[in-house]
Amino acid sequence: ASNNGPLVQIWLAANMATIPKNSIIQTNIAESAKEITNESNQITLRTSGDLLQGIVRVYSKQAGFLLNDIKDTLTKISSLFKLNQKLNV
Amino acid sequence: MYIKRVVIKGFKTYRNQTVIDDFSPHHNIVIGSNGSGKSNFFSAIRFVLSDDYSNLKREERQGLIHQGSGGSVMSASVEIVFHDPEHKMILPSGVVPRENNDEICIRRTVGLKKDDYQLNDRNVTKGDVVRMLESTGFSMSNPYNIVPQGKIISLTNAKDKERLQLLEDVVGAKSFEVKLKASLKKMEETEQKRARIAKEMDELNSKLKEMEQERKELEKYNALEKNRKVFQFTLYDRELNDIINQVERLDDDYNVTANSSEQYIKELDKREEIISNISKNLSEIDSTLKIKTTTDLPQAKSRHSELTNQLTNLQVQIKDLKLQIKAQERQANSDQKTLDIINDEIQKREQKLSSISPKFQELSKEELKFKLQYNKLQQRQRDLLLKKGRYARFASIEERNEWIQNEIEESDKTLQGLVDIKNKILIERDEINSKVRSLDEDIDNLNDSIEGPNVTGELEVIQDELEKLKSEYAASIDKRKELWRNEQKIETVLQNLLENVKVLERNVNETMDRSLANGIKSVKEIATKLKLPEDSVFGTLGELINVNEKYKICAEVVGGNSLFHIVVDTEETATIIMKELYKMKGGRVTFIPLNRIYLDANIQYPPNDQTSFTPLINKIKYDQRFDKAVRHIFGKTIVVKDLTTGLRISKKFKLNSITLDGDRADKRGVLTGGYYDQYKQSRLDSLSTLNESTAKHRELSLELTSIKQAIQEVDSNIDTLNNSIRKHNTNRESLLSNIEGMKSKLRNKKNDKILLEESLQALAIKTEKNEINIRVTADKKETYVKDMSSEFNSELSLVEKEELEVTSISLLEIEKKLTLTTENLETVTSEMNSLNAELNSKLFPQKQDILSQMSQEGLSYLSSLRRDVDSMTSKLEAVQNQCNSALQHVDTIQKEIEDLKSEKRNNDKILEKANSQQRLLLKKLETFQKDVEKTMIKKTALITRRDELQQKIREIGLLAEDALNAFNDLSSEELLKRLNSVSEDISGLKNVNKRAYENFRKFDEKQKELVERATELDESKTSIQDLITRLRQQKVTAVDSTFLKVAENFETVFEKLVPIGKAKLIIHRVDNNARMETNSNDDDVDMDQEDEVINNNESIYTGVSISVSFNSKENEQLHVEQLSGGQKTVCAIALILAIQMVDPAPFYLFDEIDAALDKQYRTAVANIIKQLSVNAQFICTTFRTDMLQVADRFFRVKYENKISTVIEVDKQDAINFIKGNNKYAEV
Ligand SMILES: Nc1ncnc2c1ncn2[C@@H]1O[C@H](COP(=O)(O)OP(=O)(O)OP(=O)(O)O)[C@@H](O)[C@H]1O
Ligand SMILES: [Mg+2]
Repeated sequence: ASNNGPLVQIWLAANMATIPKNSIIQTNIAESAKEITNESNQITLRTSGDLLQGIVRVYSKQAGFLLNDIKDTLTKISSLFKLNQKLNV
Repeated sequence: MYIKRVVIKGFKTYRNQTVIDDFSPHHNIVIGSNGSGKSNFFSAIRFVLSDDYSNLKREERQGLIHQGSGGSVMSASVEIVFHDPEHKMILPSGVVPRENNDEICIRRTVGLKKDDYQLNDRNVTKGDVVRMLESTGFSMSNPYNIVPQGKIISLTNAKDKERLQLLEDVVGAKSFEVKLKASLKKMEETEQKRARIAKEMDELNSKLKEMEQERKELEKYNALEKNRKVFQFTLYDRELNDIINQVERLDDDYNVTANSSEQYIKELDKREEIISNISKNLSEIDSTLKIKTTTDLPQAKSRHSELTNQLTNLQVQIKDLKLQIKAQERQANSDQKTLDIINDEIQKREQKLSSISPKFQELSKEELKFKLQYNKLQQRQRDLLLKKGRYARFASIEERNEWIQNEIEESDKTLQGLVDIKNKILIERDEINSKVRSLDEDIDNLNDSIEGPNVTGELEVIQDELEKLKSEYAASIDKRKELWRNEQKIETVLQNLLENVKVLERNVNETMDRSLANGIKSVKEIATKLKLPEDSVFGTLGELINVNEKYKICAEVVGGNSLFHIVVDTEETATIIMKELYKMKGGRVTFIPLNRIYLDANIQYPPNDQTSFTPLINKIKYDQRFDKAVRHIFGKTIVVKDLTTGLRISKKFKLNSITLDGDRADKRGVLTGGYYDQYKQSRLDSLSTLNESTAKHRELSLELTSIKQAIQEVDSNIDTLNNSIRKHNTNRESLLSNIEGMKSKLRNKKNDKILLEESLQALAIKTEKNEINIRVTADKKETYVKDMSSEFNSELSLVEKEELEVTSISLLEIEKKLTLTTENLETVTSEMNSLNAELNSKLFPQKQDILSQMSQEGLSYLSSLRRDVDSMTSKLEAVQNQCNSALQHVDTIQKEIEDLKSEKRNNDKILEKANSQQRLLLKKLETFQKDVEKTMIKKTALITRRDELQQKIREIGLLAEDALNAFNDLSSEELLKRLNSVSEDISGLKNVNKRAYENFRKFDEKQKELVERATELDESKTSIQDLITRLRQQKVTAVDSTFLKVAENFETVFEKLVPIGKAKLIIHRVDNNARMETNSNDDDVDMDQEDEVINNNESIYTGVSISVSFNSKENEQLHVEQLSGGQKTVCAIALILAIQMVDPAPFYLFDEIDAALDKQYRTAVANIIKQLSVNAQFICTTFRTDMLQVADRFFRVKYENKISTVIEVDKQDAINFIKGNNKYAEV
């Protein structure tokens, strides 16, 4: 198994059941994908499959978080608007 | 990593718990007869490690669990223990690795309903086990490395497709496929999410646009605001500037006042100092004054008054002495005069007497004569009468004679009596004479004793003695008084001192805790009580050292509590005192026994030139005896200028350093410091002052005791003097009384003498009378005799009758003469008597009195009086000058008091003046203060205003530089107008969301960030897609590359197995027009497949075929189907071993793979396995001996009454067993 530095996050993401939120936010998928590609001939197909799974999982999680954040900001803005209306009247 | 131990229980034939332990990491052989349980063993391993036995149904479970004897077995469990030193297997989170050995044990238990996995005795899910095994490159789905019985055959006649499958397994392509599928699915999901994200983003953007408007509005507002701000700013700025320079102006004059007040303050301090020392000496004066007024003055006064009244009564005494003297003199004169008069009288009288006395003598003679005669006659007459008469009565002569006889007897008796009397008288007279003589003697010596020189001398001596004693007495009385006064004074002073000591003691006690304080006190008591030798207990360390003023604080800080340690000479004394302390519960004290103190001699001070410092020990003066103790406490500290150097030095030279104001740097780098309250009575001072005052107190008390002794002495002296005085007085008294006595004796003697003389005279008269009587009685007797002899004639003879008449006539005559002479005599005697009487009764006594008085008040008396007077006068003078001196003393004291008072007054005056100046200064200062305050108030007002302005300016916020001085030229009013207009405009804009700007900014940022993340997601999506295509391609290449490798290995293995033969793996691709003949050496797979559309995941290969020739290298490539069973197994084995070399699995299980091979191939296979077993574990079952030759460990499975057991056997047994029941002949 080849879990050198940068890919560890991804590998962990693949194998571990739970992944900490901030590690997800921090991982830059483009970079790790690049990393995997130029590592690909060293690592076996199986592990690269794992890594792929890991990346995709992280990717989907990131998307999920982004969605939540957008939702949050939206709610905040709307609440702000309500607040402003109240304030200026 | 290899299988180390297998534990099977209740699984198929392994009913009881059978442990197959320490498998060799290389080649293991399991032998046993048919049906003994070899394959069961293998299926047990597969049961745990592969998917073959997943989601078992009821029958399958029963198939696994041991049936048969007893049937009590309800569950089967197989545990495989791996030895994994390199920790290849990554344990899932939560599983604890075995501590000591690198074992990982996987157990699966299955019951009718139960089916669970355990990793190192912790329940885990099957997924965990799968993931863990995959992490070590061992796939559970289709484990090529486990070849159960009969699988080899299936391998041999496997189709190309299955072989491709196997290859892809090796490559992990299948699992990759699965993962890929899963990932793609995931991608779709995320796609939907992203779609939702996009939607949400749009909404966000719309919201933002709204905010945009608000922002614009705000901007407009801001613009206006900016102008307003600018105006405000400029206005504020201007105001600020002038305020600032106002403040500056205020500062200047504040400084002016400040430094002027500076000198005043200095002045004030100076004054303060003066005042303080004035008040100090004022208090001193007060105290001395108090002492003086309370003790000295009254004393002096009392002394003075005492002396004055002494003086007065002396004067009085003197006066009355003088009076006495005068009286005495007068008396003396009058006495003298009276004496003279008396003497004259006496002389006159004596003359008269002398003139009369012869007459008297004569007359008295005459009278005597006559008297005699008369008497005689009378006698005669009487006789006659008597005779006449006497005899008349007797009747008879006898009667008469009898009577006469009686009478004669009587007269004899009387005569006898008379003679006796006469003798007696004579004797008496002699006696008297002798008495008189003795009296004379007595009188003589009395005289000389009274008047004698030694008596007077003695008297003188006594007198002087007395004088001396008196003076001494007086002196000692004075001395005593003096001493009393001193005593009183000292007592008062002592009183003060005692209070002082108590105060100081309280101070000292304050600086230390209570138990230590009374500990020290009790130590002192004990020292005195036990009378410990002086040089054993030296008292507290603080008392024994005195420190240079400058370094006092350092010593104080360094010393700390050790200043109160008691220094003793040896530890015995310390223990004695401690025992005593314990007994009397006198508190706790620490001792420093000088003989026991350990001194690390190697305190070496850093070279002096390097840094400026002084070892503290040099600054402390102490007795050399205490050197060790003091060095022990202060030895290691040095005084430095500041802490930094101190720290450096103390670290380097292992010393403590301390600065002058008490900050300390310990050798271990600890720093202590901060405010040290100098004014609080420092321990050293308090100790030293306490010491001083106790010493003074002790001294004074000594003095007091000495004075007391002196007083006692003086008292005793006075007593002795008193006694001696009294003695002397008594002597003198006695002497005087002696003298008196003697005088009285003398007088008595004289009186006696006189009496004696008178009695002599009386005796003489008596003798005369006696003579007469004798004579008469003799006559009478004669007469009687005569009568007796005469007859009894009662009658008188005639002669007698005549005689009678004559006698009666002569009697008459004589009587007349007698009367005459008696008259004369009377007159003379009366005269004489009167004279004598006068003389004797009056004059002589008077004279006597006077004389006695004179003698009494004689010269001595007078002289004594005079002496008294003199002594009195001298005493008077003494007293006088004492009085004067007392007066002077009083005056001096008064003067002293006066000048003390005056000093006090002028001190007061000075103080007053100083105070007044002070007040003046203070007033001035106050004025300064006031105007300083005024300025301060103004200043503060301005400052607050300035701060306000600054605050406002800050509120206004940053403005562009140009805007700042755009309106500088405009006047303030103009600016104000502009400002108002702008603010009006602003008020026009209603409900501007002031926070719109921030809100917008914030959310804009947020939006940007989100957009950014969205783009990032896009990027990552594309990158993942690239990755997928890349991986797909890689899968292809992987397959290619693994295929190449496997093919290569296949050939080499085949070479080994069939040296003469040759074999090749061929891979077939799907529908590309030119079937590319991929042989092992063509490795540049062209990458033009990129445009490959990611269609369904169907692989681009169709199958893998083997072309092999067994007996020649060049031609005759036969397809595998055309081979014999054995040849097929050889190919299959070659293929498996080739794969093994590419993707090594941790262990290999071959169940009777060599069954179908002949001798030649069996040995070849055995050798290959041997080679590979070096770094891979092989567990095989066989019925042939070839494998046994090369194997390392042998296990024999026995099967008795339906239970199989496994025991380890050595090589030879195994071979015998195989030979023993080998049904097939050796081919
Ligand atoms: N659940 C079970 N309970 C009891 N016995 C069982 C159970 N399952 C199988 N057996 C017995 O195990 C025997 C088969 O054992 P196994 O296949 O291990 O023999 P083997 O040593 O491999 O023989 P060969 O040398 O022929 O391969 C059968 O006789 C069968 O009766
Ligand atoms: Mg079998």
